[in-house]
Amino acid sequence: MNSPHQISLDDWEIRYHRLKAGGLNEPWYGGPLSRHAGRGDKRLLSLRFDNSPPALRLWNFLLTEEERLHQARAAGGKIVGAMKDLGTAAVMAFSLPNVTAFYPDGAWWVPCIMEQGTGDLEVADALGIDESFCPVRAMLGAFVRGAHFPRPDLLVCSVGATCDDFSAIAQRLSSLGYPILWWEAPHRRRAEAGEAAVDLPGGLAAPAAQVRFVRRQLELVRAGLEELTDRKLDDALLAEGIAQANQFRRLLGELRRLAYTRVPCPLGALEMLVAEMLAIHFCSDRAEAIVVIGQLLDEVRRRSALGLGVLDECAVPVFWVNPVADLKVMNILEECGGRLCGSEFLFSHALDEIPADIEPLEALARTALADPMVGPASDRAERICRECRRFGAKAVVISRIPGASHCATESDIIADMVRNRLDLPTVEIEVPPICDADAPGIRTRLEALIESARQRT
Amino acid sequence: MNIDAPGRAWPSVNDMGQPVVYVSPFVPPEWIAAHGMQPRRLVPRAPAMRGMREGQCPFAWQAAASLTATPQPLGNPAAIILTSTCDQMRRAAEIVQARTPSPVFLMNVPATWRSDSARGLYADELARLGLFLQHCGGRQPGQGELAALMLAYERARIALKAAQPMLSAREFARLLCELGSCDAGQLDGFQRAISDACGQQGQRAAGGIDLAIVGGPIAQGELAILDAIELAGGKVVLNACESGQRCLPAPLDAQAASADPLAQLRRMYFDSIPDAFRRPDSLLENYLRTHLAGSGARGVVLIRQVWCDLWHAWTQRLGGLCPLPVLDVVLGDSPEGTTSATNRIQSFIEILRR
Ligand code: SF4
Ligand code: SF4
Repeated sequence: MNSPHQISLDDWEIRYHRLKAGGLNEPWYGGPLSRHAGRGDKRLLSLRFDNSPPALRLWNFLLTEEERLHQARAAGGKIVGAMKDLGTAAVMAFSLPNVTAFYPDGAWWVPCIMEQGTGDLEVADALGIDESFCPVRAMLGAFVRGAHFPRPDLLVCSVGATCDDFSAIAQRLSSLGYPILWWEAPHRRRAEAGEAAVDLPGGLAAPAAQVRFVRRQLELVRAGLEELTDRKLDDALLAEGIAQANQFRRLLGELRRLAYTRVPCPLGALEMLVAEMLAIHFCSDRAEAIVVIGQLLDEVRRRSALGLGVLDECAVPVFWVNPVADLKVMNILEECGGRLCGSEFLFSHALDEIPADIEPLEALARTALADPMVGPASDRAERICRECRRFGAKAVVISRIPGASHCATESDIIADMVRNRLDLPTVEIEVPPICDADAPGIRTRLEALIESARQRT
Repeated sequence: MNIDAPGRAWPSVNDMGQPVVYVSPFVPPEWIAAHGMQPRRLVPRAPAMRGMREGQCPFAWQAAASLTATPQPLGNPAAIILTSTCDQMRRAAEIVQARTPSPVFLMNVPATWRSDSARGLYADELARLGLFLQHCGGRQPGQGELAALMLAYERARIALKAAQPMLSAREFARLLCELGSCDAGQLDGFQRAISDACGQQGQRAAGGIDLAIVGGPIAQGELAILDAIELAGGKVVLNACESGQRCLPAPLDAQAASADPLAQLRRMYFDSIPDAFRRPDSLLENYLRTHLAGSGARGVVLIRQVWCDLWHAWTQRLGGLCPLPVLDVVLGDSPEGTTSATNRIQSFIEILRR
């Protein structure tokens, strides 16, 4: 039972009490995972989890975010709801003392985790935001119902070169009386001949003029944060905020390197998805997120050193494109004989370190412009190809998000580039928030992909 | 005829040489013409169904399909200008860029509009577009040339607006597209085209059920729904679709234009045209609130393309802006074309009549 395994929620119940009896030390948010299922997170009953104490801490950290936000409010802190940019605005907000930032976008997963039993989607439907929008529409229901997170003291949202789903839903929210500080993320373009260009994180580049523009936009965000807190968000604070974010990103980078390359696979796809999600806003507690990810990394290092893993040695390395609306699909990939060997969950700019040797706002502007969503799909596809090579992918899954304005066009561009450049088999699947009805079809496609990858090797 | 529905000919490329093709009302045709080039506003002919994937906006898809088809139905464009005004169009631009030999310019039109930096970005993009056009064979506009052209386009727009009550909604849409496809030398001819159209429409029935139409773009082949409104006894008194008066630029300030024509273009287009992609979208909200109330319309038809999130999100909001009944018409969602939309419009008018 102590060797690395993937176990059910019931198994975790038994294991939890054994660990506790053995002296398991937990933070305030610790406890058996089953209690989350009891409070409505029913999808947990269908998942298989890593059996290590650091994984337990990871899940407990993830599933107690709402409590953390309420605690922050009760302690007199300010709460900032950053929307859409997935990383940058949160780094700025966390740079101020007594400010907690989170992405209401995270409600994306609520219909899955709570098996749609929340009423969020029904509220969104009633407001004219039906299932032709992506699952982020649950955010609208969450705001209106006052569920899942406290009402933020400030809402900031990036628009421009973003998806239409989010832009439309955020505007709907604004029309319902939730004031939003909008800032512009322009479509990232290549520099014209003779135009100065600037390197961005992630191996990208953009015209210096675009970076200057985004920097001016982030000045607006800075001013909004200063007004909220009545405190100056100076460069020293921002630099410290960036340093903390980078500490997290370095740990996560090393975790990804080991988890995606070591044989046998030392950590399953589900925990890796959750670990990567923490990069967006540290699950509302930056310091604790660093501890959580550090412990997970220690466990993966230990397993790697001992040659231990959670999957069969011959599991086929699969690169995954786009987040899955149903977490269960990460388990299904492994049940079909695959293992995650890299991911592009639409927030790769939140994984890359923020440049620390330039002015902080300039660094953040470069990071914001490196967002895969604001650039052409071909840039995103290039990165996917690079990472497939780096992590030794043998197949690629492009997971479509129901209703998303970008998937229909982008998927072909990515699949074509992966096939042409890497000659890897690819498959496209669509994953709804609860995939049970579609699971047989998804399995068939994943099995065929993995079989085809095996035959090639 | 360059159209598969009844009506007069839409701008044809046959005698346009190498046009500069654009789609969005946020691209000023006078800026293209000032470079000695032929602007050509593209309104795709038919809604695309073939090759389209679930989730794709039929209008954006058809625009991309028209621009990448071989042989090229648009002649051999000297340049193509698309805009970042929505995710679907921005991504369509990437496809067009990859599949056509014509140079493609993706113009960043900011969604935000209240900050100086956003307004400055639009102006910078106009300047960048100017350089691009010069690379594509255009010439640098001469001193005073742009301001003079702006005045000429303004006169044509004033004439078009004055003629609107005499024109069917389809004719107005056609003439708007024609105006956006005029170069400097064709504007006189355009005035004649307005007179001709008014003459032909002289028998337009008085009375009818006054309706407002609101929404995004409509492909040529879908304009049958405008005919359907009129055939069913309706009359479009406010066209707040992309093919209507909502997307006309603000009136020109000729004095300001002679001092700084580019700043004036920015004011007329970027600062003024209300649209669903703008954040916040208070320009559109205020426009609709004012014009719906002032139009005397008895009902509103929201016309949107399937999978267009930006206009879809207006279905519920429209009802909150005015006390009028709203009919939600979705285009491009069925292979039967506009038949079901037409039937629904007829029923809607029938109900309003009672
Ligand atoms: S999943 Fe795609 S469509 Fe949905 S909010 Fe995220 S980026 Fe937008
Ligand atoms: S109809 Fe909507 S989705 Fe289509 S091009 Fe226009 S704004 Fe974009």
